[in-house]
Amino acid sequence: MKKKAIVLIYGEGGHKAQMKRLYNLLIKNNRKNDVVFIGICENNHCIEELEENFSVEFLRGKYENYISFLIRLPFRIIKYIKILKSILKKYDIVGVISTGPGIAIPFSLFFKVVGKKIIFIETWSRFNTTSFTGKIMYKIADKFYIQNKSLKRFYSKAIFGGLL
Amino acid sequence: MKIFVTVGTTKFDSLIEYIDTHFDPKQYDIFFQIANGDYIPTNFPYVRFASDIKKFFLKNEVIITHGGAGSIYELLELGKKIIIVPNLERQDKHQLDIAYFMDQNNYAKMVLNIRELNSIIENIHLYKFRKFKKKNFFKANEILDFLLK
Repeated sequence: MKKKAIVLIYGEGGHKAQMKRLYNLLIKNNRKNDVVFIGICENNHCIEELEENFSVEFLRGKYENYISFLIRLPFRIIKYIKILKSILKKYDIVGVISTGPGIAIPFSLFFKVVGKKIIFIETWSRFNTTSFTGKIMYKIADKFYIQNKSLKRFYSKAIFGGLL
Repeated sequence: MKIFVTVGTTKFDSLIEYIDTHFDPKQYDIFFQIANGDYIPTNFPYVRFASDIKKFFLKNEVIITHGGAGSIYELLELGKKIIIVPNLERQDKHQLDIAYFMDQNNYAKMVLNIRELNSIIENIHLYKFRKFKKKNFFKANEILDFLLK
């Protein structure tokens, strides 16, 4: 019997910090208790409290230029697919929540293709600019949350949710 | 004056090196948090990471911080006087966004040219910042309901 699970996808640094705060809010309200939270994290920077974490390489590095990114992309995608298969084998996935950055895109797309619900929360550090990940996730997510009202002019269908 | 310098989880060598070599240890009591930085300060003490960074925030008068939102929100919630120096050593320059926002709304002072730090610190007592009021995230229930229905 596979456990029901919500997948949390988050990169390191601020993305992890935001997801940790969201997770604390989610478990406060998750009185049902039959749903667990699993993580897809970047480079072993994982939230230990989750049921299980799957660490992956970043989609694009902090200092990586576009050429390197394009060359390495297919290899990273292949590794991501392996992780995805392990997750689907072990858990009955209900949906996916992500705080970015780039790793949110391939995994959200994969889970969307297999019919799962997709939630994305744009980062707390954006007020007057959009992120690469945000622009793409806006088209993929079932619900797209922004933490700063000023972003509404870029994402008209976004839901303002306040700051994590 | 007691000053704490934090770079978060990404190294910011140019900031650390500038402050280490351009501030007088007789006049300033400075402590660095340098992450995985390659430059090692020689004139002031440092740590790479601080598990309880809040205590450093609380006991220093002024904090010079990188443009990381997590650091900025935590500092403003504590009511600290902060100078934001966006880390432009990174490939992406997203730290400029929040730094500009905070500066333009007078919640903090943004510095793009680190050479300006000396005069800004000298005059920091003249800066009167507005208090930033954080609207806390209130959509956790909505998210859970949507996923579990």
